Amino acid sequence: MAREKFKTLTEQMFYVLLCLREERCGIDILAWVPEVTDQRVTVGSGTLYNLLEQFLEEDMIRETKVEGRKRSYLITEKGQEMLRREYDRLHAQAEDYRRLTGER
Amino acid sequence: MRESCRKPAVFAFYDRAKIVQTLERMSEQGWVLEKPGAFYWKYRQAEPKHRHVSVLYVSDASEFNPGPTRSQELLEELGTADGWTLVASWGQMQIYYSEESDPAPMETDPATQVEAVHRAMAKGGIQGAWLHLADGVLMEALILWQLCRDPVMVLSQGFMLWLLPDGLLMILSALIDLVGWRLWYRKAVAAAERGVYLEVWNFRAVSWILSTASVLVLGLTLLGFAGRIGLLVIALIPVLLTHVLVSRLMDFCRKRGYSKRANLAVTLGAAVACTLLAIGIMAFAVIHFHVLEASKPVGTYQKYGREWDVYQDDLPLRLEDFEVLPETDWSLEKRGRGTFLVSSYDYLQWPLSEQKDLFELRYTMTDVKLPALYDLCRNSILQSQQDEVQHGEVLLVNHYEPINAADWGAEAAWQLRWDDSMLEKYVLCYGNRIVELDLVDAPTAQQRQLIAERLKP
Repeated sequence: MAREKFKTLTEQMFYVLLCLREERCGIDILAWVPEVTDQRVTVGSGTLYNLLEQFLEEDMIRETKVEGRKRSYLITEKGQEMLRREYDRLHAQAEDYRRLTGER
Repeated sequence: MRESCRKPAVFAFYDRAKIVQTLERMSEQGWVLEKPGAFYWKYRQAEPKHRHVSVLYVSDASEFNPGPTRSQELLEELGTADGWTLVASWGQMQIYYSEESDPAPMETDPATQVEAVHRAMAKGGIQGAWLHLADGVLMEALILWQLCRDPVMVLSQGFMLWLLPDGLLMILSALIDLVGWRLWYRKAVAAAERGVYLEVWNFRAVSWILSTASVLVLGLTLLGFAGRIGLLVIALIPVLLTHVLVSRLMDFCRKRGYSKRANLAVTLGAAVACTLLAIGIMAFAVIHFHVLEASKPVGTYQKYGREWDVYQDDLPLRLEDFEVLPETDWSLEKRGRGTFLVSSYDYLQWPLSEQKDLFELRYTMTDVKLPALYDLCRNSILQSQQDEVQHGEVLLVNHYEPINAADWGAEAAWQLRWDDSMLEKYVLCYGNRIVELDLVDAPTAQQRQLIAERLKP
Protein backbone atom coordinates (compact mmCIF):
# COMPACT_ATOMS: atom_id res chain seq x y z
CA MET A 1 0.00 0.00 0.00
CA ALA A 2 1.45 3.36 -1.01
CA ARG A 3 2.24 6.00 1.62
CA GLU A 4 -0.38 8.72 2.01
CA LYS A 5 1.41 12.04 1.66
CA PHE A 6 3.10 12.95 4.99
CA LYS A 7 0.92 10.49 6.96
CA THR A 8 4.19 9.06 8.13
CA LEU A 9 7.48 10.95 7.86
CA THR A 10 10.79 9.66 6.57
CA GLU A 11 13.86 10.29 8.72
CA GLN A 12 14.88 13.27 6.63
CA MET A 13 11.40 14.80 6.84
CA PHE A 14 11.36 14.27 10.61
CA TYR A 15 14.71 15.96 11.22
CA VAL A 16 14.06 18.87 8.86
CA LEU A 17 10.80 19.63 10.71
CA LEU A 18 12.50 19.15 14.06
CA CYS A 19 15.25 21.54 12.99
CA LEU A 20 12.75 24.23 12.05
CA ARG A 21 11.37 24.61 15.56
CA GLU A 22 13.88 27.42 15.43
CA GLU A 23 14.16 29.80 12.50
CA ARG A 24 16.84 28.50 10.16
CA CYS A 25 17.92 28.88 6.52
CA GLY A 26 18.56 25.99 4.14
CA ILE A 27 22.32 25.88 4.64
CA ASP A 28 21.84 25.81 8.43
CA ILE A 29 19.56 22.77 8.05
CA LEU A 30 22.13 20.96 5.85
CA ALA A 31 24.68 21.36 8.66
CA TRP A 32 22.32 20.82 11.64
CA VAL A 33 20.87 17.42 10.73
CA PRO A 34 24.15 15.44 10.53
CA GLU A 35 25.44 17.32 13.57
CA VAL A 36 22.56 16.36 15.90
CA THR A 37 22.36 12.81 14.57
CA ASP A 38 26.08 12.23 14.87
CA GLN A 39 26.34 11.88 11.05
CA ARG A 40 23.78 9.06 11.09
CA VAL A 41 21.36 11.09 8.99
CA THR A 42 22.33 13.48 6.20
CA VAL A 43 19.98 15.43 3.98
CA GLY A 44 21.12 15.97 0.38
CA SER A 45 20.79 19.47 -1.04
CA GLY A 46 18.29 18.28 -3.68
CA THR A 47 16.23 16.44 -1.10
CA LEU A 48 16.24 19.44 1.23
CA TYR A 49 15.14 21.75 -1.58
CA ASN A 50 12.27 19.39 -2.44
CA LEU A 51 11.25 18.99 1.20
CA LEU A 52 11.18 22.75 1.78
CA GLU A 53 9.05 23.20 -1.35
CA GLN A 54 6.66 20.42 -0.35
CA PHE A 55 6.40 21.53 3.30
CA LEU A 56 5.69 25.11 2.17
CA GLU A 57 3.01 23.88 -0.19
CA GLU A 58 1.38 21.88 2.62
CA ASP A 59 1.67 24.81 5.10
CA MET A 60 3.85 22.69 7.39
CA ILE A 61 6.50 25.42 7.44
CA ARG A 62 6.50 29.13 6.55
CA GLU A 63 9.07 31.47 5.14
CA THR A 64 10.14 34.03 7.75
CA LYS A 65 12.95 36.03 6.20
CA VAL A 66 14.44 36.71 2.77
CA GLU A 67 17.93 38.22 2.58
CA GLY A 68 19.06 38.17 -1.04
CA ARG A 69 18.99 34.51 -2.01
CA LYS A 70 19.03 33.39 1.63
CA ARG A 71 15.63 32.36 2.94
CA SER A 72 14.74 31.31 6.47
CA TYR A 73 11.92 29.07 7.61
CA LEU A 74 9.99 28.14 10.75
CA ILE A 75 7.67 25.24 11.50
CA THR A 76 3.90 26.00 11.61
CA GLU A 77 1.27 24.53 13.96
CA LYS A 78 0.35 22.02 11.28
CA GLY A 79 4.00 21.00 10.97
CA GLN A 80 4.29 20.72 14.76
CA GLU A 81 1.24 18.49 14.83
CA MET A 82 2.68 16.18 12.17
CA LEU A 83 5.99 16.07 13.96
CA ARG A 84 4.23 15.18 17.23
CA ARG A 85 2.18 12.51 15.48
CA GLU A 86 5.33 10.95 14.03
CA TYR A 87 6.97 11.05 17.46
CA ASP A 88 3.94 9.29 18.98
CA ARG A 89 4.06 6.66 16.27
CA LEU A 90 7.75 6.00 16.79
CA HIS A 91 7.26 6.07 20.56
CA ALA A 92 4.44 3.52 20.31
CA GLN A 93 6.69 1.31 18.20
CA ALA A 94 9.48 1.54 20.78
CA GLU A 95 7.02 0.80 23.60
CA ASP A 96 5.73 -2.25 21.77
CA TYR A 97 9.30 -3.43 21.32
CA ARG A 98 10.05 -3.04 25.02
CA ARG A 99 6.80 -4.68 26.08
CA LEU A 100 7.23 -7.65 23.79
CA THR A 101 10.95 -8.26 24.26
CA GLY A 102 11.12 -7.27 27.92
CA GLU A 103 14.17 -5.12 27.18
CA ARG A 104 14.54 -1.79 29.02
CA MET B 1 41.57 20.28 -31.73
CA ARG B 2 37.84 20.87 -31.40
CA GLU B 3 36.65 23.20 -28.65
CA SER B 4 33.10 21.88 -28.62
CA CYS B 5 31.03 19.01 -29.97
CA ARG B 6 27.38 18.15 -30.42
CA LYS B 7 25.76 14.80 -29.72
CA PRO B 8 22.18 13.78 -30.52
CA ALA B 9 19.81 13.80 -27.54
CA VAL B 10 18.86 10.13 -27.41
CA PHE B 11 17.27 10.08 -23.96
CA ALA B 12 13.81 10.93 -22.70
CA PHE B 13 13.41 14.15 -20.69
CA TYR B 14 12.83 12.37 -17.38
CA ASP B 15 15.35 9.56 -18.02
CA ARG B 16 17.58 10.76 -15.15
CA ALA B 17 19.71 7.59 -14.92
CA LYS B 18 20.59 7.54 -18.63
CA ILE B 19 21.39 11.26 -18.64
CA VAL B 20 23.69 10.91 -15.61
CA GLN B 21 25.40 7.88 -17.15
CA THR B 22 25.94 9.68 -20.49
CA LEU B 23 27.25 12.91 -18.94
CA GLU B 24 29.65 11.07 -16.62
CA ARG B 25 30.99 9.05 -19.56
CA MET B 26 31.41 12.20 -21.67
CA SER B 27 33.25 13.89 -18.78
CA GLU B 28 35.72 11.00 -18.59
CA GLN B 29 36.32 11.53 -22.32
CA GLY B 30 37.01 15.24 -21.75
CA TRP B 31 33.65 16.79 -22.57
CA VAL B 32 31.41 18.67 -20.14
CA LEU B 33 27.89 19.76 -20.92
CA GLU B 34 27.42 23.31 -22.17
CA LYS B 35 23.87 23.39 -23.49
CA PRO B 36 21.13 20.72 -23.58
CA GLY B 37 18.45 20.80 -26.26
CA ALA B 38 15.64 18.88 -27.90
CA PHE B 39 17.67 17.57 -30.83
CA TYR B 40 21.31 17.66 -29.70
CA TRP B 41 23.35 18.44 -26.59
CA LYS B 42 26.39 20.70 -26.91
CA TYR B 43 29.57 19.89 -24.96
CA ARG B 44 32.76 21.91 -24.41
CA GLN B 45 36.22 20.49 -24.02
CA ALA B 46 37.59 20.07 -20.47
CA GLU B 47 40.15 18.02 -18.61
CA PRO B 48 39.18 14.35 -18.96
CA LYS B 49 38.28 13.08 -15.50
CA HIS B 50 35.40 11.58 -13.57
CA ARG B 51 32.88 14.18 -12.47
CA HIS B 52 29.77 13.28 -10.53
CA VAL B 53 26.54 14.35 -12.20
CA SER B 54 23.16 14.96 -10.59
CA VAL B 55 19.95 15.65 -12.49
CA LEU B 56 16.97 17.23 -10.70
CA TYR B 57 13.64 18.60 -11.86
CA VAL B 58 12.15 21.89 -10.66
CA SER B 59 8.42 21.97 -11.33
CA ASP B 60 8.03 25.75 -11.87
CA ALA B 61 11.16 26.18 -14.01
CA SER B 62 10.45 26.87 -17.67
CA GLU B 63 12.14 27.94 -20.87
CA PHE B 64 9.68 30.85 -20.91
CA ASN B 65 10.85 32.30 -17.58
CA PRO B 66 12.91 35.51 -17.78
CA GLY B 67 15.39 34.07 -15.27
CA PRO B 68 15.75 31.41 -12.60
CA THR B 69 12.74 31.06 -10.31
CA ARG B 70 12.90 31.30 -6.53
CA SER B 71 12.94 27.48 -6.40
CA GLN B 72 15.85 27.25 -8.85
CA GLU B 73 17.80 29.82 -6.79
CA LEU B 74 17.12 27.90 -3.58
CA LEU B 75 18.26 24.62 -5.14
CA GLU B 76 21.40 26.24 -6.54
CA GLU B 77 22.23 27.80 -3.16
CA LEU B 78 21.87 24.46 -1.35
CA GLY B 79 23.70 22.56 -4.10
CA THR B 80 26.63 25.01 -4.01
CA ALA B 81 26.86 24.61 -0.23
CA ASP B 82 27.24 20.84 -0.77
CA GLY B 83 29.91 21.24 -3.48
CA TRP B 84 27.66 20.94 -6.54
CA THR B 85 27.82 23.39 -9.48
CA LEU B 86 24.90 24.10 -11.74
CA VAL B 87 26.20 23.64 -15.31
CA ALA B 88 23.01 23.79 -17.32
CA SER B 89 19.29 24.08 -16.99
CA TRP B 90 16.77 23.18 -19.66
CA GLY B 91 13.16 23.85 -18.78
CA GLN B 92 12.51 21.90 -15.58
CA MET B 93 15.75 19.92 -15.84
CA GLN B 94 18.64 21.14 -13.66
CA ILE B 95 22.05 19.54 -14.22
CA TYR B 96 24.75 19.71 -11.55
CA TYR B 97 28.39 18.57 -11.63
CA SER B 98 30.68 17.92 -8.70
CA GLU B 99 34.44 17.58 -9.08
CA GLU B 100 34.86 16.21 -5.55
CA SER B 101 35.88 12.55 -5.34
CA ASP B 102 33.06 11.57 -2.99
CA PRO B 103 30.49 14.34 -2.83
CA ALA B 104 27.41 14.24 -0.61
CA PRO B 105 24.60 13.02 -2.87
CA MET B 106 21.98 15.63 -3.77
CA GLU B 107 19.13 13.15 -3.38
CA THR B 108 19.01 11.18 -0.13
CA ASP B 109 15.31 10.40 0.32
CA PRO B 110 13.54 8.28 -2.36
CA ALA B 111 10.07 9.28 -1.07
CA THR B 112 10.84 12.99 -1.51
CA GLN B 113 12.49 12.37 -4.87
CA VAL B 114 9.45 10.48 -6.19
CA GLU B 115 7.13 13.32 -5.12
CA ALA B 116 9.42 15.91 -6.73
CA VAL B 117 9.65 14.08 -10.08
CA HIS B 118 5.92 13.34 -10.03
CA ARG B 119 5.12 17.01 -9.41
CA ALA B 120 7.50 18.16 -12.15
CA MET B 121 6.01 15.68 -14.64
CA ALA B 122 2.45 16.73 -13.76
CA LYS B 123 3.33 20.34 -14.58
CA GLY B 124 5.54 19.49 -17.54
CA GLY B 125 5.67 16.38 -19.71
CA ILE B 126 2.26 15.07 -18.71
CA GLN B 127 0.52 18.28 -19.79
CA GLY B 128 2.22 17.76 -23.15
CA ALA B 129 0.91 14.17 -23.25
CA TRP B 130 -2.67 15.39 -22.59
CA LEU B 131 -2.33 17.93 -25.43
CA HIS B 132 -0.90 15.20 -27.65
CA LEU B 133 -3.86 12.96 -26.81
CA ALA B 134 -6.40 15.74 -27.48
CA ASP B 135 -4.66 16.54 -30.77
CA GLY B 136 -4.70 12.88 -31.85
CA VAL B 137 -8.35 12.34 -30.87
CA LEU B 138 -9.44 15.53 -32.68
CA MET B 139 -7.49 14.59 -35.80
CA GLU B 140 -8.88 11.05 -35.77
CA ALA B 141 -12.46 12.26 -35.21
CA LEU B 142 -12.21 14.74 -38.11
CA ILE B 143 -10.80 12.13 -40.49
CA LEU B 144 -13.38 9.49 -39.47
CA TRP B 145 -16.19 12.02 -39.86
CA GLN B 146 -14.85 12.88 -43.32
CA LEU B 147 -14.47 9.16 -44.09
CA CYS B 148 -18.17 8.60 -43.30
CA ARG B 149 -19.21 11.60 -45.42
CA ASP B 150 -16.97 10.99 -48.43
CA PRO B 151 -14.95 7.73 -48.30
CA VAL B 152 -13.75 8.04 -51.90
CA MET B 153 -12.19 11.44 -51.19
CA VAL B 154 -10.41 10.25 -48.02
CA LEU B 155 -9.29 6.87 -49.36
CA SER B 156 -7.98 8.30 -52.63
CA GLN B 157 -5.88 11.05 -51.06
CA GLY B 158 -2.58 9.85 -49.67
CA PHE B 159 -2.31 12.75 -47.28
CA MET B 160 -5.79 12.24 -45.80
CA LEU B 161 -5.44 8.46 -45.70
CA TRP B 162 -2.18 8.46 -43.75
CA LEU B 163 -3.49 10.91 -41.20
CA LEU B 164 -5.54 7.98 -39.85
CA PRO B 165 -2.62 5.82 -38.63
CA ASP B 166 -0.72 9.00 -37.79
CA GLY B 167 -3.52 10.05 -35.40
CA LEU B 168 -3.66 6.55 -33.91
CA LEU B 169 0.07 6.63 -33.25
CA MET B 170 -0.31 10.00 -31.53
CA ILE B 171 -3.11 8.64 -29.32
CA LEU B 172 -1.18 5.46 -28.53
CA SER B 173 2.00 7.35 -27.69
CA ALA B 174 0.12 9.80 -25.41
CA LEU B 175 -1.77 6.96 -23.68
CA ILE B 176 1.47 5.08 -23.03
CA ASP B 177 2.93 8.23 -21.46
CA LEU B 178 -0.16 8.87 -19.31
CA VAL B 179 -0.77 5.29 -18.18
CA GLY B 180 2.97 4.71 -17.72
CA TRP B 181 3.20 7.83 -15.58
CA ARG B 182 0.36 6.70 -13.29
CA LEU B 183 1.73 3.15 -12.98
CA TRP B 184 5.28 4.39 -12.37
CA TYR B 185 4.05 6.73 -9.61
CA ARG B 186 2.20 3.92 -7.80
CA LYS B 187 5.14 1.54 -8.00
CA ALA B 188 7.68 4.28 -7.19
CA VAL B 189 5.80 5.32 -4.02
CA ALA B 190 5.72 1.68 -2.90
CA ALA B 191 9.43 1.24 -3.71
CA ALA B 192 10.27 4.45 -1.83
CA GLU B 193 8.64 2.88 1.26
CA ARG B 194 11.40 0.28 1.04
CA GLY B 195 14.00 3.02 0.60
CA VAL B 196 14.48 2.47 -3.14
CA TYR B 197 14.09 5.10 -5.86
CA LEU B 198 12.42 3.64 -8.93
CA GLU B 199 13.52 5.43 -12.11
CA VAL B 200 10.80 6.88 -14.35
CA TRP B 201 9.62 4.30 -16.87
CA ASN B 202 10.60 5.20 -20.37
CA PHE B 203 9.23 2.30 -22.44
CA ARG B 204 12.28 2.43 -24.69
CA ALA B 205 11.23 -0.56 -26.84
CA VAL B 206 7.69 0.79 -27.28
CA SER B 207 9.01 4.28 -28.03
CA TRP B 208 11.35 2.79 -30.62
CA ILE B 209 8.50 0.86 -32.27
CA LEU B 210 6.26 3.95 -32.27
CA SER B 211 9.04 6.15 -33.68
CA THR B 212 9.74 3.62 -36.44
CA ALA B 213 6.02 3.39 -37.22
CA SER B 214 5.80 7.21 -37.31
CA VAL B 215 8.71 7.40 -39.77
CA LEU B 216 7.05 4.69 -41.86
CA VAL B 217 3.73 6.54 -41.85
CA LEU B 218 5.50 9.80 -42.69
CA GLY B 219 7.21 8.06 -45.60
CA LEU B 220 3.89 6.70 -46.86
CA THR B 221 2.32 10.14 -46.39
CA LEU B 222 5.08 11.61 -48.52
CA LEU B 223 4.36 8.95 -51.14
CA GLY B 224 0.85 10.40 -51.20
CA PHE B 225 2.55 13.55 -52.40
CA ALA B 226 4.39 11.68 -55.13
CA GLY B 227 4.68 13.97 -58.11
CA ARG B 228 3.86 16.95 -55.90
CA ILE B 229 7.30 17.64 -54.49
CA GLY B 230 6.58 21.34 -54.99
CA LEU B 231 3.75 21.18 -52.45
CA LEU B 232 5.94 19.25 -50.04
CA VAL B 233 8.65 21.91 -50.23
CA ILE B 234 6.05 24.66 -49.91
CA ALA B 235 4.63 22.87 -46.83
CA LEU B 236 7.98 22.13 -45.18
CA ILE B 237 9.56 25.58 -45.57
CA PRO B 238 6.92 27.44 -43.48
CA VAL B 239 6.99 24.64 -40.86
CA LEU B 240 10.78 24.95 -40.46
CA LEU B 241 10.67 28.76 -40.57
CA THR B 242 7.91 28.77 -37.92
CA HIS B 243 9.98 26.49 -35.67
CA VAL B 244 13.09 28.70 -35.96
CA LEU B 245 11.15 31.96 -35.61
CA VAL B 246 9.19 30.78 -32.56
CA SER B 247 12.28 29.52 -30.69
CA ARG B 248 14.17 32.76 -31.49
CA LEU B 249 11.20 34.83 -30.35
CA MET B 250 11.02 32.88 -27.07
CA ASP B 251 14.75 33.56 -26.46
CA PHE B 252 14.29 37.23 -27.34
CA CYS B 253 11.36 37.66 -24.91
CA ARG B 254 13.27 35.87 -22.16
CA LYS B 255 16.34 38.08 -22.65
CA ARG B 256 14.16 41.19 -22.62
CA GLY B 257 12.79 40.13 -19.22
CA TYR B 258 9.20 39.34 -20.30
CA SER B 259 7.21 37.43 -17.68
CA LYS B 260 6.48 33.75 -18.33
CA ARG B 261 2.86 34.57 -19.16
CA ALA B 262 3.79 37.41 -21.55
CA ASN B 263 6.45 35.27 -23.23
CA LEU B 264 3.97 32.40 -23.66
CA ALA B 265 1.33 34.75 -25.08
CA VAL B 266 3.74 36.38 -27.56
CA THR B 267 5.33 33.09 -28.63
CA LEU B 268 2.03 31.20 -28.97
CA GLY B 269 0.49 34.18 -30.79
CA ALA B 270 3.42 34.20 -33.21
CA ALA B 271 3.16 30.42 -33.68
CA VAL B 272 -0.57 30.69 -34.52
CA ALA B 273 0.04 33.67 -36.85
CA CYS B 274 2.89 31.82 -38.62
CA THR B 275 0.75 28.69 -38.98
CA LEU B 276 -2.13 30.68 -40.50
CA LEU B 277 0.32 32.45 -42.81
CA ALA B 278 1.79 29.10 -43.83
CA ILE B 279 -1.69 27.72 -44.57
CA GLY B 280 -2.43 30.88 -46.60
CA ILE B 281 0.80 30.49 -48.59
CA MET B 282 0.01 26.82 -49.23
CA ALA B 283 -3.56 27.60 -50.31
CA PHE B 284 -2.27 30.32 -52.66
CA ALA B 285 0.33 27.95 -54.10
CA VAL B 286 -2.25 25.17 -54.52
CA ILE B 287 -4.64 27.47 -56.39
CA HIS B 288 -2.15 29.57 -58.31
CA PHE B 289 0.43 26.96 -59.28
CA HIS B 290 -2.01 24.00 -59.64
CA VAL B 291 0.26 21.92 -57.39
CA LEU B 292 -2.49 19.51 -56.34
CA GLU B 293 -3.81 18.88 -59.81
CA ALA B 294 -2.94 15.79 -61.81
CA SER B 295 -2.36 17.85 -64.94
CA LYS B 296 -0.97 21.26 -65.72
CA PRO B 297 -2.67 23.81 -68.02
CA VAL B 298 -1.05 24.39 -71.40
CA GLY B 299 -2.52 27.86 -71.88
CA THR B 300 -5.48 30.13 -71.17
CA TYR B 301 -8.51 31.45 -73.05
CA GLN B 302 -11.22 34.09 -72.53
CA LYS B 303 -14.84 33.09 -72.00
CA TYR B 304 -17.75 34.96 -70.38
CA GLY B 305 -15.33 37.83 -69.67
CA ARG B 306 -12.98 35.64 -67.59
CA GLU B 307 -9.71 33.90 -68.18
CA TRP B 308 -9.82 30.09 -68.06
CA ASP B 309 -7.12 27.42 -68.23
CA VAL B 310 -6.79 25.10 -71.20
CA TYR B 311 -5.70 21.48 -70.76
CA GLN B 312 -4.61 18.89 -73.28
CA ASP B 313 -4.65 15.66 -71.26
CA ASP B 314 -5.16 12.16 -72.54
CA LEU B 315 -8.85 11.16 -72.11
CA PRO B 316 -9.97 7.51 -72.62
CA LEU B 317 -13.34 8.66 -73.99
CA ARG B 318 -13.89 11.85 -75.99
CA LEU B 319 -16.89 13.54 -77.56
CA GLU B 320 -15.57 12.94 -81.08
CA ASP B 321 -15.80 9.19 -80.37
CA PHE B 322 -19.62 9.65 -80.40
CA GLU B 323 -20.31 12.07 -83.21
CA VAL B 324 -18.94 14.53 -85.75
CA LEU B 325 -18.18 17.72 -83.86
CA PRO B 326 -18.15 21.30 -85.12
CA GLU B 327 -14.79 22.89 -85.84
CA THR B 328 -13.59 24.33 -82.57
CA ASP B 329 -10.78 24.03 -80.00
CA TRP B 330 -11.30 21.85 -76.92
CA SER B 331 -9.93 21.65 -73.45
CA LEU B 332 -9.27 18.10 -72.22
CA GLU B 333 -8.64 17.81 -68.53
CA LYS B 334 -7.92 14.91 -66.19
CA ARG B 335 -7.86 15.68 -62.49
CA GLY B 336 -7.89 13.54 -59.37
CA ARG B 337 -5.70 11.46 -57.16
CA GLY B 338 -5.06 7.89 -56.04
CA THR B 339 -3.64 5.69 -53.34
CA PHE B 340 -3.01 1.97 -53.06
CA LEU B 341 -6.65 1.62 -51.88
CA VAL B 342 -8.69 3.85 -54.18
CA SER B 343 -8.03 6.14 -57.12
CA SER B 344 -10.54 8.63 -58.42
CA TYR B 345 -10.07 10.76 -61.54
CA ASP B 346 -12.41 13.27 -63.17
CA TYR B 347 -12.32 13.66 -66.97
CA LEU B 348 -13.69 16.80 -68.59
CA GLN B 349 -13.98 17.88 -72.19
CA TRP B 350 -15.42 21.26 -73.08
CA PRO B 351 -15.27 23.69 -76.02
CA LEU B 352 -13.28 26.91 -75.79
CA SER B 353 -15.85 28.95 -77.75
CA GLU B 354 -18.98 30.35 -76.08
CA GLN B 355 -21.46 29.04 -78.69
CA LYS B 356 -20.63 25.37 -78.36
CA ASP B 357 -21.60 24.82 -74.74
CA LEU B 358 -24.10 22.14 -75.57
CA PHE B 359 -21.25 19.80 -76.35
CA GLU B 360 -19.63 18.81 -73.10
CA LEU B 361 -18.51 15.56 -71.56
CA ARG B 362 -17.82 14.80 -67.89
CA TYR B 363 -17.12 11.50 -66.23
CA THR B 364 -15.38 10.18 -63.12
CA MET B 365 -13.67 6.83 -62.84
CA THR B 366 -13.16 5.44 -59.34
CA ASP B 367 -11.04 2.31 -59.07
CA VAL B 368 -11.42 0.41 -55.80
CA LYS B 369 -8.30 -1.70 -55.35
CA LEU B 370 -9.37 -3.37 -52.09
CA PRO B 371 -12.58 -5.39 -52.66
CA ALA B 372 -13.70 -4.89 -49.04
CA LEU B 373 -14.04 -1.17 -49.72
CA TYR B 374 -16.08 -1.53 -52.91
CA ASP B 375 -19.59 -1.40 -51.39
CA LEU B 376 -18.62 1.53 -49.16
CA CYS B 377 -17.39 3.56 -52.14
CA ARG B 378 -20.29 2.61 -54.46
CA ASN B 379 -22.94 3.39 -51.82
CA SER B 380 -21.29 6.70 -51.04
CA ILE B 381 -21.40 7.65 -54.74
CA LEU B 382 -25.06 6.57 -55.08
CA GLN B 383 -26.01 8.41 -51.90
CA SER B 384 -24.35 11.61 -53.08
CA GLN B 385 -27.77 12.37 -54.62
CA GLN B 386 -30.63 12.26 -52.13
CA ASP B 387 -34.34 13.14 -52.14
CA GLU B 388 -35.28 16.26 -50.25
CA VAL B 389 -37.56 15.04 -47.47
CA GLN B 390 -39.38 17.05 -44.82
CA HIS B 391 -41.59 15.47 -42.13
CA GLY B 392 -41.63 12.22 -44.09
CA GLU B 393 -42.88 13.94 -47.25
CA VAL B 394 -40.69 13.97 -50.37
CA LEU B 395 -40.35 17.60 -51.54
CA LEU B 396 -37.94 16.92 -54.36
CA VAL B 397 -37.08 13.63 -56.01
CA ASN B 398 -33.34 13.40 -56.62
CA HIS B 399 -31.84 9.92 -56.52
CA TYR B 400 -30.23 7.21 -58.60
CA GLU B 401 -32.54 4.43 -59.83
CA PRO B 402 -31.35 1.01 -61.05
CA ILE B 403 -31.52 0.54 -64.83
CA ASN B 404 -30.74 -2.38 -67.10
CA ALA B 405 -27.00 -2.95 -66.69
CA ALA B 406 -26.79 -5.23 -69.74
CA ASP B 407 -27.59 -2.22 -71.99
CA TRP B 408 -24.31 -0.70 -70.76
CA GLY B 409 -22.28 -3.90 -70.74
CA ALA B 410 -21.93 -3.33 -66.98
CA GLU B 411 -22.50 -5.47 -63.87
CA ALA B 412 -24.80 -2.82 -62.38
CA ALA B 413 -26.11 0.55 -63.54
CA TRP B 414 -28.15 3.46 -62.15
CA GLN B 415 -29.61 6.61 -63.68
CA LEU B 416 -30.41 9.84 -61.87
CA ARG B 417 -34.05 10.70 -61.42
CA TRP B 418 -34.67 14.38 -60.81
CA ASP B 419 -38.27 15.40 -60.18
CA ASP B 420 -40.35 13.77 -62.98
CA SER B 421 -37.55 13.21 -65.42
CA MET B 422 -34.55 10.94 -65.83
CA LEU B 423 -31.34 12.93 -66.34
CA GLU B 424 -28.46 11.74 -68.49
CA LYS B 425 -26.35 11.06 -65.40
CA TYR B 426 -25.33 7.48 -64.76
CA VAL B 427 -23.41 5.34 -62.31
CA LEU B 428 -21.96 2.26 -64.01
CA CYS B 429 -20.07 -0.62 -62.40
CA TYR B 430 -17.37 -2.35 -64.46
CA GLY B 431 -15.41 -4.82 -62.31
CA ASN B 432 -13.64 -2.85 -59.58
CA ARG B 433 -14.33 0.41 -61.44
CA ILE B 434 -17.26 2.74 -60.71
CA VAL B 435 -17.97 5.25 -63.47
CA GLU B 436 -20.06 8.39 -62.97
CA LEU B 437 -21.08 9.61 -66.40
CA ASP B 438 -22.63 12.97 -67.23
CA LEU B 439 -23.92 13.27 -70.80
CA VAL B 440 -25.86 15.97 -72.64
CA ASP B 441 -28.06 13.61 -74.72
CA ALA B 442 -29.33 10.08 -74.18
CA PRO B 443 -26.76 7.70 -75.72
CA THR B 444 -27.65 5.25 -78.47
CA ALA B 445 -27.04 1.51 -78.06
CA GLN B 446 -23.93 1.87 -80.19
CA GLN B 447 -22.66 4.73 -78.03
CA ARG B 448 -23.35 2.76 -74.83
CA GLN B 449 -21.28 -0.10 -76.24
CA LEU B 450 -18.46 2.30 -77.08
CA ILE B 451 -18.58 3.76 -73.55
CA ALA B 452 -18.28 0.26 -72.06
CA GLU B 453 -15.33 -0.56 -74.34
CA ARG B 454 -13.47 2.63 -73.48
CA LEU B 455 -14.20 2.85 -69.77
CA LYS B 456 -13.94 -0.78 -68.68
CA PRO B 457 -10.76 -1.50 -66.68
